[in-house]
Amino acid sequence: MLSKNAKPWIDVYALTGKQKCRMAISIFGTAFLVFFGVGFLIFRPHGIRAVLWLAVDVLVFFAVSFALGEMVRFLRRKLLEWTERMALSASTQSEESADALYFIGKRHRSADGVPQDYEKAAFLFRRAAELGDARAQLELGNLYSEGKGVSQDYALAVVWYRKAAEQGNSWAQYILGDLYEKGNGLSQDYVEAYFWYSLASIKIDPVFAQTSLAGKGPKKHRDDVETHLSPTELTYQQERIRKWSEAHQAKPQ
Amino acid sequence: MPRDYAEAYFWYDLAAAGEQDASDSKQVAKYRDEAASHLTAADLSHAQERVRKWFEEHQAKSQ
Repeated sequence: MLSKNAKPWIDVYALTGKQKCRMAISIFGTAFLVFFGVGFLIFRPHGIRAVLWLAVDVLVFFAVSFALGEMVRFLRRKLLEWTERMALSASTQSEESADALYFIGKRHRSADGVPQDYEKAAFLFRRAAELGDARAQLELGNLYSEGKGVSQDYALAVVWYRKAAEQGNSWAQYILGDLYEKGNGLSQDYVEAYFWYSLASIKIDPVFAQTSLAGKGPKKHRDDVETHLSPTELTYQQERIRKWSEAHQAKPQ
Repeated sequence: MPRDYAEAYFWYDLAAAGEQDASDSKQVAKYRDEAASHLTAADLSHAQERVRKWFEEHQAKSQ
């Protein structure tokens, strides 16, 4: 009798390697037997050699498919290596190469098509960050604060977060505000926290508003730190925020 | 993997919140709402609570 929670199909991902092997052998074994049984019945008038040639044809088909698959894998890997080498070569230090370095770095960090390698990711992000890519600066800050691929260093993390934040990266601004509020990697400063939270809220709060995190974004954090500010500090910071966003609206960042 | 709309909702919602661009976020939110249409009200609020909890824990980690 099936229990109430029993699934009507087999959950292949939950099987062990041995069970998957057994299942594959039984499925492919049956298919093989049926295939050659039928083949033998049909081709028997042509002699036993026709049946053997059929088997050879089938084997060649599988071998060629496997070889093509391996070739594609090999070319994809080489393509990534070549792109990486091109982007790293000194003659092409441009915005495009920073872009390529950032995306290849992300693939190494998230094990996308290559084995996971934080050190390589950190190296690529650093090259892109030095070329001024704000996303790479944010990623490098993350690697420094988590100690992945580099030795953990909050001060350096703050340096890279700040570079990204000053270029208008809203997540870097949010993180920087958080670090200032809690005094991580730098001395606690509610005024600076207010400034960076406010800038981050311009882009992040409209995005959060569409999700379950509505009202939990940088605007809420800004309102929390606002209580620590004197009225003069507040008006001064609001003026600073207004000037900053005006100066950065001209740029498409 | 076994189909799990609550799990889909959880990840889509986080992805929507993590987008840099509001219009990209809207696109992801559309997929999320599609997943939400398969959920009961109780499952939905549980999934939303999980998202908030994840975000708070994740923020706490950066301390």
